Parts: sequence; structure tokens; C-alpha cells
Amino acid sequence: MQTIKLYILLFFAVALASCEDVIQVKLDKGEPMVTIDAFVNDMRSTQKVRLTYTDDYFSQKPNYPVTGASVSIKDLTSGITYTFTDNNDGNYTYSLTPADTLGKVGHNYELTVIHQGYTYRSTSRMNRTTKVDSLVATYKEGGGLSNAQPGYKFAFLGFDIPGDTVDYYWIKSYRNGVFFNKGGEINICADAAYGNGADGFPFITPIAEGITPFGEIFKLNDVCRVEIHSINLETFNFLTQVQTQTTNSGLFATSPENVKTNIKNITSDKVKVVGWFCMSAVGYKQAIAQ
Amino acid sequence: MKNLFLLFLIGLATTSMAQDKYTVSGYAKDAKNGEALIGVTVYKKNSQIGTSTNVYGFYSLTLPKGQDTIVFSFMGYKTVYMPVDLTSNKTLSLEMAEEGKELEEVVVSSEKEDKNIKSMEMSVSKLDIKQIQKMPALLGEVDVIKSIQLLPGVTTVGEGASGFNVRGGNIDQNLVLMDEAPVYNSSHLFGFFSIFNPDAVKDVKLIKGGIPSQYGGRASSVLDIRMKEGNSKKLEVNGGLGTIFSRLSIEAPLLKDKASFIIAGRRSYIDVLAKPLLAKQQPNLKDAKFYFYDLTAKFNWRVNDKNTVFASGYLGRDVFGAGFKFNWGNTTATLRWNHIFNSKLFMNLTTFYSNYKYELGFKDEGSSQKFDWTSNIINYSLKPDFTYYLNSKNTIKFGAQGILYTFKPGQAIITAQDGSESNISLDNQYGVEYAGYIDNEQKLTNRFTLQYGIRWSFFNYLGKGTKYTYRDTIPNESKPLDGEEKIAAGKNIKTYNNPEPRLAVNYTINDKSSVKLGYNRMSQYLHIVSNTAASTPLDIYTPVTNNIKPLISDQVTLGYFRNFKENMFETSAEVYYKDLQNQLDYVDNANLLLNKYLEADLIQGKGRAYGLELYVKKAKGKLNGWVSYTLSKTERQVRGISNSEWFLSKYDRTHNINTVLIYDLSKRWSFSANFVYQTGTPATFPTAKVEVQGYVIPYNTDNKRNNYRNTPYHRADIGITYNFKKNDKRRYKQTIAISVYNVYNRRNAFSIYFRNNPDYPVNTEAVRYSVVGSIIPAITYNFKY
Repeated sequence: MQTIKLYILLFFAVALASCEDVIQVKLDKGEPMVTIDAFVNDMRSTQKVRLTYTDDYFSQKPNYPVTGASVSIKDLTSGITYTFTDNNDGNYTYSLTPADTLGKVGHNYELTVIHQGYTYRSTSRMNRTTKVDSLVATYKEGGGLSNAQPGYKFAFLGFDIPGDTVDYYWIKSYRNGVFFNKGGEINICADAAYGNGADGFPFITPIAEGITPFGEIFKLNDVCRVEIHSINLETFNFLTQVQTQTTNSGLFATSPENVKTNIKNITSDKVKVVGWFCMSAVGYKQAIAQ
Repeated sequence: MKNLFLLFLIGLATTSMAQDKYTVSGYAKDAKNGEALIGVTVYKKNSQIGTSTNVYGFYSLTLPKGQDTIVFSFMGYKTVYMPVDLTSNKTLSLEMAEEGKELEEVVVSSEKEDKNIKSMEMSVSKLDIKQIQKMPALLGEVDVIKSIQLLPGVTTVGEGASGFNVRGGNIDQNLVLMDEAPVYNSSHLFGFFSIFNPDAVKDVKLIKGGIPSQYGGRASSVLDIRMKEGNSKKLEVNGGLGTIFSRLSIEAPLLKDKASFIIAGRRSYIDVLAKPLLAKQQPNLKDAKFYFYDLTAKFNWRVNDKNTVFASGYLGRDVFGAGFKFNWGNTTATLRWNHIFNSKLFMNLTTFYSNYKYELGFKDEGSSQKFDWTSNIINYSLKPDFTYYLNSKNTIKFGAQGILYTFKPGQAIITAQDGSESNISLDNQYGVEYAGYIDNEQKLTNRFTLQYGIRWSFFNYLGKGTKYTYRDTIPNESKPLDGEEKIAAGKNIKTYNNPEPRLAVNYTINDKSSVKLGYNRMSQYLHIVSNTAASTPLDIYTPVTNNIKPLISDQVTLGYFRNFKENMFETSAEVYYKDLQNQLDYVDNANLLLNKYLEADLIQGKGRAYGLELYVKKAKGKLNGWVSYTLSKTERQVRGISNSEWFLSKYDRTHNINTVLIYDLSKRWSFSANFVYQTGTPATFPTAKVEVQGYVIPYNTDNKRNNYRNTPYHRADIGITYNFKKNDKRRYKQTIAISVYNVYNRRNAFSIYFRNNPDYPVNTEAVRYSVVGSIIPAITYNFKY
């Protein structure tokens, strides 16, 4: 779909000199809302939940941190509670020891955030994930539509887990440890494709090649890391929404809408909260471009 | 309802007493090419008794016995006075010659000069194709739909958007008829060009209000486009080389004055020109395809005085591809039979087939992986329409229509690397729409005319298919599935029916002015499913189902019409109020493509639209054209959207000014200019930013839709047409048309969107997207033989 959009835009650009320019717009200022960013996984590293306040859209600073909250995740299956530490910069962390048990496939987890008298809560089940079989780098001359530099393009090989349930994956990729974090670079799938019907298939080309975003390349000796995070349908929809709302431009833009949240303020209906909670299992691999 | 029926009976009763009257009937045609003339005023000299020719050029007029003179008047043509001695019913067909040989008088309304005052029609705009051809056009391509957008009460969301919005109606609420067959997507290249080849169009009529009962099936307007029949006198060839299209049309008699045909084709040729360039600079695009074409063909045969047969067809396609394919187009075929039972009863029987098809596909180079998706809407219809010219005071129209629908929302197949296929197609959907109508235009007194009627429409949503039931839930959330039931072929799933009363009143104050009132209820049994700013060719249509209700609109229109300076200037002021029920909207993050639970993501809400339209037209003289101003508001209310409060619809434009001026300097030169001003379209802007996983997401903390407006849209275009001196030996007629679109280089915002600066991702910014970002000059060469 992205590619089609691009071709169409190219056509308009040539035929009609369509153009985009940055303009000044005066926007209303919304009341700050608490944002809870809780994507936690089963990797044996420090897990993080980030709390911030929403800010004016044009504020040219990162959003303000929410400090002084208490953050914990309870494994509803085993009954163990994991308490996160307030780092006083909006980050609440939990350092895993190799023996730690946080993150088991099939377990249900409950997130609790208490801040200024309000309790925010959400639950998430950790689904199974699949593994990255291999990473392949191909040298490309560059140019083309994206006008990319010459360099390596990575693709991965992997298979969806066959089975009755649809598996949802979020494929995150990194170049030298830096996450490709543009909204348009979100690479998610249902089984091995975008809809039903690809159960147990190898990941289809746009997904496999999507780990090198459009217009990006890896230079010689750059490290490419790919992680396949298991997500659920709701998270798949949420990330679709993030993708739509951050790249919502052009002739076929959809009506802007607010991204949904799966976190509830259980103390009061009046004070709203935004953000997302998701527990993921991760399969990963990395390779050097050569 | 009862009163209407009573009135109808009285109408019949008062007239059946009339004795010693005879009927004159026949056809009016153009002397030059034999084309039927639509809307010729036919009246008894020095009286108010008259009628006008219908879309097939037929008229019937009943007059008292004796000697009389019948006048045939048609603007731009020499008036014909025909003495008759009525001792029996008479057939009187005639050919009318154009006024002024060389300089084609521009005819804004090709009717009797004060017809706008006396006719029942209100909220109706007619455009003459000759005039459309003189107006400046985008990239020099003469365009019916673009011209429609310059009329009062008509808006669009912006350049490049397909379709048009009439008095607050969505684009799927316009019944676009091409020779009586409906067209689902009237655009080439999204919305830049329309599919109607101007060389083959004869008559364009847009009905926005007081819609007569013979039309139905859409909630807001009717765009009735009639194609030429083809020159029945001699061979005629029209063609042109434009910036986008090259065109050619051939028309010729098969049997002089009896049978003729027209074939008209167009094809874009940017791809041909771009090919060498692409091959050099973008080798991976060298196989790219992007072109569009259309072919219109029509044949007519006047079998005898009582029977005429027409066959017409249209085939149009847009093709895009480069490792993917993305194609769409309409195919229509119409067969019509005009039959005159007697001098008072005229019938047209139409049967048509219409197929709108669009497809999308991806293919992976060097492997067998691919994805193919095809979608169709197929219609078959039978439609008899009768006109009974009862007497000089009553004209009764009645008829029926049946349409068989097949919706194929998506036939999709994924092929894996190992060649195994996985079919993710959706069920087809079937429906039958049928309707009957009766309508009488009754002259109560010389000043007071009524047109009243009723259309009763029905829709059956049929198997074979799956009937889904859903539970209601939190507004603006996808509805949870309750059950699925397989329904056998032909079995009824859900039936709807709607009586649709129609009324029009004309009170003629004097020869120069009149007051008109119109009311219509319309129902619509299919919806376009689109939540994008501009409708895309991929948008699917859904019939009404057990979960989706029909769209119903009620509209009241009141207008005052006044002509000045002996009909030199026509003016009108109209107000309207329209109420809409069951307009489609979408839950947040709705999945509209290839979703068998689509109905779960659809919600329906109310709409209202009201406005004032002022219109001044100068129909005659070297300088002609019109100025219109519309003040309007269009709103929606949908449970769960925008806090369930009324919000502006995406095509609301408070002020809308259109100016079209044409100046015919001489036989050789004509100049044209237009100017458009429209309030910016409503838009939803963020009030905050949310950070999740490193993504900066725009967010509206008030949860209000369309809380802002884009900047106003305005634009001016100019055009010059030069007619070459006719070469007597070769009989060629050549013209060069030069147009400049967007003369003062305005960058109108199609939309404003919000993003992170690509180079400094911490910085957020607003970006204006302009579809047309510069002055666009164009030159077109036309020839006629």
C-alpha cells in the first residue's frame, strides 16, 4: 500500500506539481494527560515503563516526565508482583536477573500505575512468538524512487507458527542499536501477511524486506538487529492506528482520530489516560552488513 | 398522501370533459446533424398552452379543433412558426436550424427565453456542451464534472477528489446517469478528469432539488447526461490533441435521417511520452504503466414514425502498474426503445447493464508470491417509462424500474512462494431494488402549476450469503459478533420499502418572475464505504443489509426567479433545508478492506444541510456567463463520534462564490475566465502530542472532529480559444484552446497534516499539502471535419 501511495504521489508531483510546505498553524492547547507507555517483553534485560504528560503539539521539547508514581506488573497466572523503580525521569525500570521469572508465554499480566490518587490499570497476555531464521544482506546500487544511497538492504527469513489462532507480530529493526522509529516504519503483521490466510507461511516480501525501511540502507559493517515481538489483535490495531495517525497525509488521508488506549483510570471516569500496555515474547537475531 | 391522490383524480376529471380537441405530436431535431433537440418549447401562438420536447426530442400538445399556429422556440435556433389546421390528430416533426452561421452563439440555457420562470424545474442547472468547451479547464481537458463544480450548491473536498457534493450530500448520493445507466465512479486518475468524453456528450442536467418521481435511488441529486446520437446527415469527425488526452470521434449516418452512430475514444499518453525518460532515469520503473482510456459508442435507428431504437455502450479504464497493478473502470451497455402508442402516449423502455470493476495486485519479482484482489458492482436493470400527454393541462408520467445488484466486495487470493494459494475472498452480496412511480404535472390556472407524484421503492437483500448479527456496544467501538447464518441463494434476508412523495409548485407572478416550492423524499439502498478525505477508486460499495439501513433524505426548497432586461439576465434565489437519516460513518480504526465483519465497523448517523443560493446568469450577448454565491452549512451527528455532538461534515463550505465569464470577441477569438472562492474544508487538528515507544502521535484532548478549518480555497483560470479560418476546400474546422489554470499561483491546501520534522524528529510541524502547487498552462488542438 505504501508503495502504491508513493507511485501515485510521484505521478501527481510530475503531472500537477503538487507540493507540500511547512506552514504556521495556531492550535488550541489541550489539558495535559498522563501517558503510560508500557511495552514489556521477555528479554533478559532492563524492562521499562515510561510515564509522561501530553504537551502542546508544537512544543519543541520531549514531553514532561511523570515522577512519583508507583508502577508494578503482576503475573496473574503465578501471582508474583514485579515492582518497578522510579528513576525520576519518567522511566520506571525493572532489572531482571538471569533467574528472574518476569515474562512467560501464556501468562496474563496486570499493570497497575498509581499516581496522585488515581489508579490506572490494564491487562495483557503474553502470546507466543516465532524466531528469526536468518538475515540476508543484498547490496543495492541506490537511486530509484527513494533516491537511497548505495548500500546494503537487509531482509529476514522466518515462518509464522501454524495453528488455529492468528498470531500477530511486531517486527522491530535496529541499525547499530538505533530503532527505526518513524511511524511509517512500523512493520506489523497477522500470521505471515496482513490479513487472514497466511497461516504457517514464510513472512511475505514486504514484511521480510520491511526491516530496512524505504529510503534507508546499511553501510558496510553496520549491525542490523531484528526482533519479532508477539502482540495481540488489540495491539496490532493500536499500532496500525499509530501508523495511520503519524503518516496521515495526502489525497487519501483518513479523518484524524485519537489513538485508543487499553489502560483505564479505575478511580475516576473524569480523568482520562492515554497509552498502551503490551507483554511480548521476542525472537531475535542480528547480523553485520558485508 | 390522500390529498395528492384526490388532486390527481380531480386533474383527470376536469380534463376528460374536454371535447373537440386534437393532438399534435412529433420530434424536433437539429437540421445540421439530425440530433434530437431536448427541451424545445412548443406552444400555441399567443397563449399559455405549451409543452416542451423530452430527452428524446418528442413532444405532444393537445389543442382545440381549428386553425392555429404552433411555435417551436429553442435558444440559439431560429424560431419556427407552423400553421396547422386541426381536424384530426397530427404528426408534426421538424428540423430546426441554428441562428447565425459561423459564430456559435453560446447557449447557457438552450430553451425558450423565459423558461426558467415558467417551468416546474427548480434547483436545476443545465450546461451546454458548447459552453463547457469554452470554459478554461485543468490541463486543457474539457470536463463535465469540473464544470458542474462551478454551479451553486455544488462543492468538492478539493482538487483531485473524485465526485462532487450537492447540498451537503456525500459523493455516493448523486445519481450519475449516462444515457440512463448509472455510473459509480465518474473519474479518471482519481478525480482529476471525468470519464465523459466531451465530444460525445449532448446534454448535461443537474437536479439538486424538487426531484421528479421518475428519478430515485440516490439521496441528493441527479446528474443526467445524455450522449449524442451521431450525425444522421453526414460524416463528422472530431478530434483533438490535448495535454493529457488525445481524442477522436467519428459519427455518421447509416441510413440517411434514419440511422446513425457515433464512436468516440480518448486515451492519455503521458506514459508514452515518459517512457524514454523513465527508461533512462528510473530503470526499475521502465515497465511502469499509467494510462487511462475510454470508449463511447452509440447507435440509433429510427425504425418508423412510432419506433426508435438506441444502443449505447461505454468502456473506460484506468491502469496503473509497476510491480503492482491498480486498475479500475466502468462498463455500461444500454438498450432503449422509444415507442409512440398514440399521439398522447410515449414510452421509453430502457434496459442496461453496468459493471464497475477495480482490482489491485502485487507480484514479487523472481518468485511466485503474489496477491490479487478484484471487486465489482454489477447491475442489470429494466426500466419502462411512460408519458401520457393527457391534455394541455395535465402531463402524466408513470413507470417502474427493477435493478438486480451483485456486489463483489473482494475476491482476493494470496499465492505463496511454493505456489500454494490461499483464498481470502469475501462473500458476494445480492439485492433487488424495484420501484414504481406516478406523477402529474397539472396546470391549475395560467399562473399556478403543480407537479405531484409518488415513487415507492423496495429493496430486498438476498442470499446467497452470510447473515451476520451483532450486539450493540460502546459507541465508536467495533460491534461484537452475535451470530452468523448461511443463507441460501435467492432467499430474502431483509426487505426495506419507502414511499417517496414528491411535490413541486410554480406560481408565476408575471412574465418576469415566479415563486417555486419543491419537496422530495429520496431513499438510497447502497452506500459507499470510504473514510478517506478524497474517495479512492478502491472504495467499496455495500448494499443495505440487516445491519445497514437505507439512507433517507427529505428536502424542501423555496425559490424566487426573476428575469431582467427581456430575459437578458436570469436571476434566482433559493433556500433549502435537507434532512438525512442513516448516513454512514466509521468507528475509529475501522477496517474497511477485505473485512467480512465490515458491518461491525459501520455506524449510522443523522445529517442536516441548509443554505441559500444566489445566482445571476447572463445568457445572451458577446459577454455571457454567471455568478453564484452559496451560503450553507452541512453537519452530522453520530453516536460516539465527536462526543456525540453535531459536527461539520468534511465537505462543508460556508461561503462559495463561482464566477464564469465568456467573451466572444469575434468569429475567431473567444476568451473565458473563472474565479472560485470557497471557505476551507473542516479538519481535525491536534491539541496535544502523545509519546509512545518513541513515536510522537498527534492527539485531540477534546475528542472533537473537524474542530478547525483549512485555509480558504480560491483560484482563477483563464482560457483563450482561437478558431482558424475555415478552409473551404478541405472543410476542416480547427481550433486552438489555451488555458492557464491557477493563474495567480495559489497553493490551496487540500489538507494540513502534522508530522515530525524528518531531519529533526524532536520538532513537530504542520504541513500544507497542495494538489496543485503551481500555475498550470495547457494547450489543446481540436479539429472537426
